Amino acid sequence: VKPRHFLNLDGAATVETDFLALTRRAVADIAARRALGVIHGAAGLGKTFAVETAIEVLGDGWEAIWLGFPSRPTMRLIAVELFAALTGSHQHQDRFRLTRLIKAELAVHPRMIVVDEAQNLNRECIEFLRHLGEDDNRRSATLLVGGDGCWEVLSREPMLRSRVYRRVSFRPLGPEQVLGAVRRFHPLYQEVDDDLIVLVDCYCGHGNFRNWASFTLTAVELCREHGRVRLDEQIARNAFALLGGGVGAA
Amino acid sequence: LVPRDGHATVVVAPDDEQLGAELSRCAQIGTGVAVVRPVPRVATRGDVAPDVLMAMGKHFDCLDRERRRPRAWDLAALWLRAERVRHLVIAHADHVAIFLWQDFSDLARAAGADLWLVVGDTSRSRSTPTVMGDVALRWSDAGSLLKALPQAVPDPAPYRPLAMPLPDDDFLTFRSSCRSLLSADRFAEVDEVYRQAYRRTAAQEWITDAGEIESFETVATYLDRLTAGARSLGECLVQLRAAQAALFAVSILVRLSRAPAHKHVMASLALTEAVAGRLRRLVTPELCAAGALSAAGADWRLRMADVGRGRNADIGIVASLPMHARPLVRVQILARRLDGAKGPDPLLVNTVGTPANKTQFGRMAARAVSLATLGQTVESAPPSRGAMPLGGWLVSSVGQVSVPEITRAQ
Repeated sequence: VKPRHFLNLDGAATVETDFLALTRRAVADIAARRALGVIHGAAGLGKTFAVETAIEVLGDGWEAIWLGFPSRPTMRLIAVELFAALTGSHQHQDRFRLTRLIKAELAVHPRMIVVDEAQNLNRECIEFLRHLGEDDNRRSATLLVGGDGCWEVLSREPMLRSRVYRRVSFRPLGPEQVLGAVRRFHPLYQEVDDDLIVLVDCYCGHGNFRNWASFTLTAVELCREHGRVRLDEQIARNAFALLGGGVGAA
Repeated sequence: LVPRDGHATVVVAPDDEQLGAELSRCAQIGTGVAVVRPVPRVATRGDVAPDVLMAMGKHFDCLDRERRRPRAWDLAALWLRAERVRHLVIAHADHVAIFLWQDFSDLARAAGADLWLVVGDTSRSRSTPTVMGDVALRWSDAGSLLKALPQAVPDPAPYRPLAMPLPDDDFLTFRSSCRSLLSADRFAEVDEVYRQAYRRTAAQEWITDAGEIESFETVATYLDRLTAGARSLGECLVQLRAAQAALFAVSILVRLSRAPAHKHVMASLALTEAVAGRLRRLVTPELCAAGALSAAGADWRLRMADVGRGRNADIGIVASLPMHARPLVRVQILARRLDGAKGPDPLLVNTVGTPANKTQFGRMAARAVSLATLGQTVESAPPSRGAMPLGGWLVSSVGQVSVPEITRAQ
């Protein structure tokens, strides 16, 4: 999986934030120990991008297996989906045999099992992942990635909490961090006043990369339509309107 | 120690991360410790039996590959006895249906093993009765469990067999080709084997300086004995080349030719620890026994009386097997006893219950070899016209030659 920016924004650069660096270190550590990690935080803060970036630089044949489940999945669903993701084969065996097959598969070569929206997991599923993670022959590590409430759900299970080797909690960027980050994020902001960036962050960005990506794409298209070469307040306010603020936004 | 008559020890380990790692270190079938990690929420004996078998080193899919799933629990019970498990540890026992505890207890009792049920959820544990069915539950902690388990024996340094390819030269240039073509380390390994075989051959009493030999069979029998302990075809080849050179130095020329492979004969498959280890990953008793007996060169017509009496079943042919291979035959003895077999009854029977004949024995052995993925190791020849199969080589002729002095000086 190649890391990609939200909406495939052209010209966007990878911004080396503290959270990205922490995620890279955490993923490297759990890979080295074949351990369990948790990455959590609100939507749009760059968790998925950070994990994709971190796994990409692992090297040594590491393969990422991304899984996502609906709310309250069953152990069997997890076993079926995980086996399919590992082998490309949809098996309808009972979950006990599937579990043995999965364990054999996880012993073959290094894989990072990434469970997205991990807050949807229930106790049974956590037990199941714990069981897979206890196999002495495994060459895999597990990363649970989740949004709001993820850590609250996972930390309620002692069997999981005690096994978490690395945890990164994503938070929105503060105003100072935003000023530095967005200028490195896209060329559109390179010669823009700080006040305008603060305005955009207050009304639209909120220190959230996904919001900034939406705004940037909209602003770039508006600039192109109106022959502007850089972002100004008029473009910004029109973008606010298109992004849900309506006429006269901000 | 826990009494072995319907008792089990419940080990309360709320934070079992550390205990899990310790159990992984202690789990070693050679010391009689099997640690079962059941799939969570398992509720039937048939579903948990594969986990018990895997705790004894069985292949993860052995039951399905060998089509033995309906007998899974019985086979788990048999193997616990055959492998002489003394401590049966069930990790996360609170995540399996509680009525399985009685089954685990029966299993352990039949094998004469202590049963340890590790639970992490203390709130659930408190609601567990102190007596369950016929099983009296004793409560303990992780420290007591670890103290009771024998320490794992460190694995010996792995033996790296002299694998092919080796130079295809005949004995006159074999050693010099090895020196030219192999890396220094690899040549040193080859030469150590070569020198030992050369010295052993040169020291044979039946060799005279005059190069007189009693018969073709004398040389062939000696070469068979020399290579019997070879752990790989490469080692066998090096020994043969060294012996040829040593014999040539006393005017005896031995010619060897490659033997055709024969899939049902395993005469040259030494029952090494690695080979036995592969066979022990199987679960079907008769296949394991046939594979081991065939590799050991035993007769297929063995009767129960030939292989063992008493509980230990370790006399006769079993006693002659290396320790690491004994469970392979022991499990068949136990299985046959369960079928009611007595002393004069055959050890191996076919599908209709009559004594297995040579062909059926060969098929069983070949199937065991195939399932244990030992096919690559097996290269052998059917004995014919007095020739000895020597790891894929046949002695084709032995004769006397006039040997230059320089060869004698080797």
